[in-house]
Amino acid sequence: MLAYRKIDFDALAAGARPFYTPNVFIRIGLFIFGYICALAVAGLIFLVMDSWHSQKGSGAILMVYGAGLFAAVEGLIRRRKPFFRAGLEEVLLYGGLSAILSGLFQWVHLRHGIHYPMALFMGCLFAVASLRYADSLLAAASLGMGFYALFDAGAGMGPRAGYLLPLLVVALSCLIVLAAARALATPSLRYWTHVWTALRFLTLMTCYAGGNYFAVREGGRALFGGAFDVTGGVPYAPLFYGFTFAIPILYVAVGLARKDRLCLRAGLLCVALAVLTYKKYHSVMPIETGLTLLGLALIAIAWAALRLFRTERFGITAGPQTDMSGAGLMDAESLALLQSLASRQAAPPQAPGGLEGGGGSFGGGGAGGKF
Amino acid sequence: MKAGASADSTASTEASAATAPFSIYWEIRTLLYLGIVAVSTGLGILIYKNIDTLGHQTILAVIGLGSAGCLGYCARRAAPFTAGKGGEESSWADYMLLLGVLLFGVFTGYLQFKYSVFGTHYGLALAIPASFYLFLAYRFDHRGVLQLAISGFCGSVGVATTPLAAFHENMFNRHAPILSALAVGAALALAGILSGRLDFKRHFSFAYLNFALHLCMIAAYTGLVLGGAWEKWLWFFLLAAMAAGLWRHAKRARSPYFLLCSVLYGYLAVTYVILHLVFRHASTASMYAALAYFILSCGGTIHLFLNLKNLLGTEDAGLPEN
Repeated sequence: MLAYRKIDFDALAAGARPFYTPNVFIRIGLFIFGYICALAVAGLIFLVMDSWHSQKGSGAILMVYGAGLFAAVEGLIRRRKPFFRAGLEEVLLYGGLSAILSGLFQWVHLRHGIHYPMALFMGCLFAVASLRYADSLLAAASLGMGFYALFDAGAGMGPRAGYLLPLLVVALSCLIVLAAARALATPSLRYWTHVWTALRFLTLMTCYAGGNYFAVREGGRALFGGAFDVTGGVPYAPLFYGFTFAIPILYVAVGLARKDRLCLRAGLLCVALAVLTYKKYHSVMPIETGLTLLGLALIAIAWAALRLFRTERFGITAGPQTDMSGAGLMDAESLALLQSLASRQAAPPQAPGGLEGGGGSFGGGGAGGKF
Repeated sequence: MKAGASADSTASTEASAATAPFSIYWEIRTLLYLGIVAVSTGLGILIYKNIDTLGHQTILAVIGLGSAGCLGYCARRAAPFTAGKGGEESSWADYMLLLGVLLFGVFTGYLQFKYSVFGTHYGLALAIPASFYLFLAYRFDHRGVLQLAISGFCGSVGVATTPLAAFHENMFNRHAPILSALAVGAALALAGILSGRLDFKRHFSFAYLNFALHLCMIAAYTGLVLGGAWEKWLWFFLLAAMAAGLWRHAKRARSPYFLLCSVLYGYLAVTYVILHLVFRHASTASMYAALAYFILSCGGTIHLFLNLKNLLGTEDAGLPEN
């Protein structure tokens, strides 16, 4: 399944540098120039094959080209120092997927856009690619296609589905949150730690969106049009409002109580969304007064938190983290998780003694400071 | 339900973090920063909407007192001035300084809008607060305020020179905005280089150079695109020289950010000139030539990025955060 060698991830956890993972700016540069290069190659191919005008012919060319890009990705991963989050292999991977899919669309006639069978197929394709190349962006795309398929299927069932869909979204999100949490705690799945982390954060957010008053009301209107009548407000509005405000508080509380940063951050984001939702339907005060008071409240909360946690209390501190910097914290924490899982594994991985042992140099802000 | 959801995953996080306490440093600072932005924006709109009503004097007084209070707090709390990096970064006082500065901006903006304190010298209306910000940035060692000061100066020069270009149609004045941007950029670059060389607020160097680089490059690129036949070459060589200089600096400072900027701006300039030449007589052949150029040049640039270590002669150099 995984295109990378698992032993390399264990070496990474042990402090070695088995992968070619450049600094984030070099990664951006590689991504940009790889993108232009891939586009130009595609352009040249189409220019040379000028005579092949049929739709199916160009679809075939696109699919062959996509396969070629995949071959290039596999080549980059099989180098002595495999490319991992290096920009180049990522852009070729995304390019390969889009070439193959757009080639496929030339063969399969899509009337009225993409519907749920195709969306489900694309979601599965993205999921497989995400697992094979340990890529969290593709996991997010797969999740997005899954929910798109759900909405598309729901839109065909009439406005009554407007009340079923929120329930489905919440239930499905909860399932994925649970599954991702389980996967994060399973040592044999540690190679995809960043994928599970991304999925867990996203589904915490979709779980909230599923029951959020604004999402239910406007989503229902967008899906079912006039048939979803909300002129007098959404039925069961108190229920949805309760959800809108309870979940953010719950996330923050759980995040703090369990020292779960992902949950805490999702909660803070949801608090902001809850305030915006309420503001959208109730004009309590003009926006500028609201902004000023909100700002003062935020400053007061921050001040109180700074005072309260100046010294460590309940295992929480307001002081800076000793081992990680703020930027790219997710990555650093993924690595920490990988390390703890690797050490929990009964049979420890072969010690990567021969690799340059730069132990302790990790955690310096995500992608790491190196060319 | 949520509580159960996170139960498993956090077990391992807790295991690794058992020794260190859970830090909410960045979360608190994000809230603080959002609060400051919200207050200064809210008050700015509030006073604008209430102009000529009874309450606006009160609001103005609140803003002025708030600004003075924040700055006074900083003055009382501040450590003595040093040429190096001050003590604790991103402390409570740093955020109060930011709030004070933003409120001061709202205050002077209102004075200019309502009472035209600076008359029609709009450039001056930006430059005077900017000078004050500059002083504050150096006194209280605050990079965010420094960036506000620099953007204020850039804005004041821009406001002061743009009308010139509209009235005078000769070559020099048509380029007045470009030339003034280049001049400001050169001055900022000088400030950045000097703060590094003289070791006077060395950590301010990045902010100066970053502004200078984008200002100069964009100005020169505008000149390249707008200029006539022979002018284009002039601007092209200027761009090439600046990109090369930036490359050298990036190598010395071991900054991948400056390296990327140098490559991107250099590539843009070269690409513009080549496409300009290739498409002078557009045909199918020029399409081939352009695509071949893109493939070869991008391939070359990727090769360059992949071999940076050999080029720079460094092995995993510890890079600064910027």
